[in-house]
Amino acid sequence: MRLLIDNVSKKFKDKWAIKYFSAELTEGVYALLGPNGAGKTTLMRMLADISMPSTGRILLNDKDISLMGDDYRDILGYLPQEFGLYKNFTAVRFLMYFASLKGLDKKFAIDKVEEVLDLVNLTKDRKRKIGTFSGGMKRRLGIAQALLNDPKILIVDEPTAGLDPQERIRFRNLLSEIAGDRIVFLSTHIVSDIEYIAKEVLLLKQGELIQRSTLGNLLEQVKGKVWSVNVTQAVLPEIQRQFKIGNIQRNESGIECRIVHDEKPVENAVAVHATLEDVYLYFFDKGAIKDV
Amino acid sequence: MANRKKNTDEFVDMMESKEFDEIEKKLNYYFVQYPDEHKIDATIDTLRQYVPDKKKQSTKLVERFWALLKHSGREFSLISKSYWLSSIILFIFGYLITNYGAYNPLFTLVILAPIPFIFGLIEVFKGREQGLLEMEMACKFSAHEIMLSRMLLVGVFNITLNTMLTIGFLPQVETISILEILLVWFTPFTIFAAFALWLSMKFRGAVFVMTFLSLWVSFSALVVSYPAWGNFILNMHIAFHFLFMGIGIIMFVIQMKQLVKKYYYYEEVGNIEVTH
Repeated sequence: MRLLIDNVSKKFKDKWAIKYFSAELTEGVYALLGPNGAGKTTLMRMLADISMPSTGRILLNDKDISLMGDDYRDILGYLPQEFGLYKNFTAVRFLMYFASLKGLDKKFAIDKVEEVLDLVNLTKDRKRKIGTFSGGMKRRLGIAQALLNDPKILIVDEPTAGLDPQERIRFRNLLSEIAGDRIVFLSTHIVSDIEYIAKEVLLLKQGELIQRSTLGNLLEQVKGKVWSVNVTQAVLPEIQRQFKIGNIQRNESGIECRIVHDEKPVENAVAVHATLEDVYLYFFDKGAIKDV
Repeated sequence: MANRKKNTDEFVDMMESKEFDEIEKKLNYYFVQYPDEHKIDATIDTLRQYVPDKKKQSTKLVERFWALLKHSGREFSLISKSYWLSSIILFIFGYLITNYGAYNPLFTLVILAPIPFIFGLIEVFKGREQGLLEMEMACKFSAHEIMLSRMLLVGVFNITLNTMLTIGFLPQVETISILEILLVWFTPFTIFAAFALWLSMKFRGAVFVMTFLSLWVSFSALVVSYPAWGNFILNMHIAFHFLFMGIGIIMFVIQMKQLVKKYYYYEEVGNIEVTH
């Protein structure tokens, strides 16, 4: 299976949301990483075929997805960033309804609903009204609806937004489990979501693909560019003004700053191991790191 | 355009034929290789998918219509029970009031006729109201088809209620033919349904209901308070009824097409409709 994003752009009036984006995806988890407003959601919508590219095309096994119609929707699972649910429905009724929208046979759907509820750990809440669900449970139910038709292409936009750390870990594991023979494309601005599961990371900045690589290669690129330095409170504002700062931690000898910079930023700085968080900081602006 | 043509003509005039010959000679240096059979076939294969297959499309349309009918059955249980119930109660109430109050049953028909459809539009756009639109759009049975199937249910239900009320009033309006009675409520029904559909695509639930109800109350008050207006509708020549009904149906079909276009792709949908 090969999903080819061929020179895709999306323009809203005079603003380019996505600019000449090209990538080829095969089975595995791909992470689209970028700050808010980078164009991730726009790209996701085009991949889900609910938005048309202004230029370019998206091909699945050489077939244009916009022409595939039902054949594409049969193998597509999509979870948007923001979504609502029918609050007076139970989880089972909601999933049965979506199973009918996906054209699943009723008998098959009954078993499948139980299977996905189990997968997202909602079996014991299956008869509860959705209105009583927590934010995390609602998101898990959203993921369950995306998995109902056993999609070969799963597109999830900021799936961990609003989930607590435990749920985020569970979700990461879930994606890893199901990714075997399908293309999973997830967008996030939270780097820890993808650190252990992404086959490749695509960095999106202002609508343009600025890097596409494995996690190892990205880390290699920032190797020797991550520094740790102890500073006093008095010089901290100046350091923050001049450099991209990651973690700031107070200790007995002052304040330890993690700096991402091409060259040694200050005399007493020591090179340290890079993490994906540093990669993010290196390629994107300081402001974007706050949700990591 | 005129300026561009003038400039081109001037440019051509300036070029001597000798210069053209020179350009031709230079171009002869460039060798454009004719693509081999394999490349031609590959290009044709790539482009073939973009050629619409008319036969397949018409078959698909029939299939889609049957799917729509079938799905309407499933949507039945999703439309809130209070909607079905309140519409029936409203019509029973209308029937009783008209009988006991000795009101003109034709006025009652005109006023009540579009109400179930209007409130039904809230059910039609329930997915949009509750933020499910984007997820529905990505399904095989997409958002616009869900709306159409619900609209079909609501429309059939409304017409059934109207027909039953018409039958109920028949003994009281023996002097008028059944066709005329049907036309009396059906003509304003089509126009108001089309207008309501247009309005519901522009505004979300509460705003739409308030706007339409205020208009509807004004219209009803006009019909009841000024008998001349009411009589104008009741005594209109049959040809005008057909004319206005035709206009109403065309307006409704246009709005249906707008709905399909609007909810087929995300870009036609405003942000207000997907946020919740």
